[in-house]
Amino acid sequence: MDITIERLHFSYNGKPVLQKITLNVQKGEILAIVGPNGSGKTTLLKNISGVLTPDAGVVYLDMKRVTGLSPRELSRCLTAVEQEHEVGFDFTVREVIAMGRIPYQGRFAKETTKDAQRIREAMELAHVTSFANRSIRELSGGEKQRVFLAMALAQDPRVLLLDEPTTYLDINYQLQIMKIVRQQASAGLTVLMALHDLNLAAQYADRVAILYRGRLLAIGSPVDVLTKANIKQAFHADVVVGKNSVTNSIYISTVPQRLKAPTSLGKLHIICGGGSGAAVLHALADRFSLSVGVVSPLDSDFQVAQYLGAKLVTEVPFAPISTRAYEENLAIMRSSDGVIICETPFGSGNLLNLRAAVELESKTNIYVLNPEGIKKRDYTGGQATKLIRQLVRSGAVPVNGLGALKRRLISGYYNTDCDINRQSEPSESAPKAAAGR
Amino acid sequence: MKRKRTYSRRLVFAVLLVLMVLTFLAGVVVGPVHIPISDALSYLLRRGISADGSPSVFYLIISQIRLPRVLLGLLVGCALAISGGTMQGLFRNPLASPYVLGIASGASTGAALVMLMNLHGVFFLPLGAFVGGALAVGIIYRLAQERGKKTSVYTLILAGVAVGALFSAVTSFIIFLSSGTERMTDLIFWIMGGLVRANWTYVCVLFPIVAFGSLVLMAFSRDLNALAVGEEGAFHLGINPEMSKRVMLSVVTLLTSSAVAFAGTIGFVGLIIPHIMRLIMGPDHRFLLPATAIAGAIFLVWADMAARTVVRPAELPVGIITAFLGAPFFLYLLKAKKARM
Repeated sequence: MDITIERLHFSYNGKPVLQKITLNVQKGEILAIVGPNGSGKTTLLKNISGVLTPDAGVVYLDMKRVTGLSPRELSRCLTAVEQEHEVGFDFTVREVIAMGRIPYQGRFAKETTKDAQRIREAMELAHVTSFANRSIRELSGGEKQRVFLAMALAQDPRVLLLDEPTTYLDINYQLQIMKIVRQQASAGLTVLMALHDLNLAAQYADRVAILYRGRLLAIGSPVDVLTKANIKQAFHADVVVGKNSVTNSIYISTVPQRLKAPTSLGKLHIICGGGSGAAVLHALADRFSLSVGVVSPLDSDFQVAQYLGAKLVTEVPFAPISTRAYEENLAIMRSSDGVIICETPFGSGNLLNLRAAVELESKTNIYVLNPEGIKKRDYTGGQATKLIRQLVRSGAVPVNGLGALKRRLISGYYNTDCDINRQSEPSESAPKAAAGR
Repeated sequence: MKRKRTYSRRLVFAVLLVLMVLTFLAGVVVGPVHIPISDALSYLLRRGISADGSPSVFYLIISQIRLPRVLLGLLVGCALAISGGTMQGLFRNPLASPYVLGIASGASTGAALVMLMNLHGVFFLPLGAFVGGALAVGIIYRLAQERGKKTSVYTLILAGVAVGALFSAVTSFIIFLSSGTERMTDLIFWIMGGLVRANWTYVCVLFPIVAFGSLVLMAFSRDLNALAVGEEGAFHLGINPEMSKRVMLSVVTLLTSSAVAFAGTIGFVGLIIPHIMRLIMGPDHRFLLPATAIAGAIFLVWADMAARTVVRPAELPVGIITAFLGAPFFLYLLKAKKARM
């Protein structure tokens, strides 16, 4: 069954809530409506379901106007799962789901075999069979949500409206509900759902509509609609839109507004690569001025460093580090208050980064993360291991774990004795002046 | 934890029906004049013709006093209990009863006015009561419907308390106006609630009202179930919630007013009986309402028997008995937190 909405207007207490909404959803399609809180998603669903009557404009189910159908006629083709569920009495789960058959039953009718079968199928689809005899009031929010989805499915609808169906669900059930909805859509159910999770919308909806201040900002395929610009406009939020190379769907990730310390605690240079630097960079970016090198632009550490605004020394991908890059890197290291060597796998391509550290000749504080693990990530036939040992012998500080590193750097700066690991790490018993002192 | 429903519905209904028959017999037997059960049965079955062909004293007591009284008790109890069950369903609140929304107070005022004006004719009393009850409900419903906003149950109940108090004041004023006359005593005893004035005319008038009203409410029990998931939820199940609510409220007003007209204000039946029955057989109104109707009928007849015998040969107003039994039990339920049902 197709839904067609033409120039729908709705206002509440004289305030326009929805304006000029025109859209259609085809049989078997899933349309996700996203938008910030208060943008009118729920109101739109209620205008479609007949709970509210639009001030102007028409909602059609196939060729029939929703407002022209009796509640009973309407309930046989369309149903909605609301966001909140408050059940008046201690009905059992099965009793609640059985209510989904009311549209097909007479006033004094008993449950038919067909009713019982549809109820059973719906319970199995929504995975609620195991607690069919429990009271609806004892259930958690997520269990209730599934019960009400089952009730809606037992109703045999051709159009299903869902208002934030995943609100109370943990990730496992979010995906399960989406899977059920997807299956039903493939079988011809038309689905319109309000979602606040942009990633679920991107992954499961055929089309997405962004509602912003009661108007449609954009409607179309997830790739076309869920763009950085649209999301910025509707949600006033900075996001990164990427493509998940495994699922081949786009993903949206928020960019946290970092709390920049008023002044930097010092300059740190990070030797990383192959993803070994991401955690370190994120942990230190808010307190220190960072630089990274030498990395190639294809390295994920490059992207993290760029995102965090770190200074970068780069080299062409798949090429050995050139003298130019080596010198540049060394210059930055010399001007830094400290150098951190991450748990990076070393090969012939990036061995020069270690050599540069050795070259510093302990004029700068060097911190080596988990030096004992070097053997496992040494692809240079022992050269990297040798260099690391040499560094530690000549005064580089071995640090076990990111937390210890952060404590060391910060306590060193403030010159306070808050490094609780100091006694348990005898190798650090004679630390040199830490960064920025 | 699985919800216990220890007794099957069929068993509950069988027990209730047996109890009702026993209650009926007991109601005929028990009273200031003891009538042996065998005599009672034989008089009932043989239409009381004694061996010499003349009606005996027992027969007169049974046919003119006990039978109408028991039947009126059954009808009033049924009306009050099924009204209570419906109100609780409508408001999704186990604390609702026919007396919230001031129905009973309004009905009392209407009936008292009819008595004051000394209007004769058996239909005037329920008519007056219905007008009074409908007025009370109407006022509250209008208040509640303001500006299309949803009104919370608590607002409704508070408004009901206020309107009820207003009507009670009017009733008191009517009693005051009638002071010094014989009618004043009548009015006061009537307000306290009792089946003393039971007669065949009352039974004949009340029976069709209760039968019709109960049938309509049972026909709407499906709607009550749907309303338990909220008005929007009910709408998605094909119910027109506004229409259902109006029909049920009208019928409840009719039933409650009629009960008040013939038996005065008898409290707690409509509150306690649906509550107990819900504990026994679950909240599905398709079974709850008929069970509540039967249980209410049984309960009121027993309460009336107690009223007739506790201070024999005098009689207590049955409203005192129901309140004595009902109020502590209700408090116990509240305390036991089962009131959440």
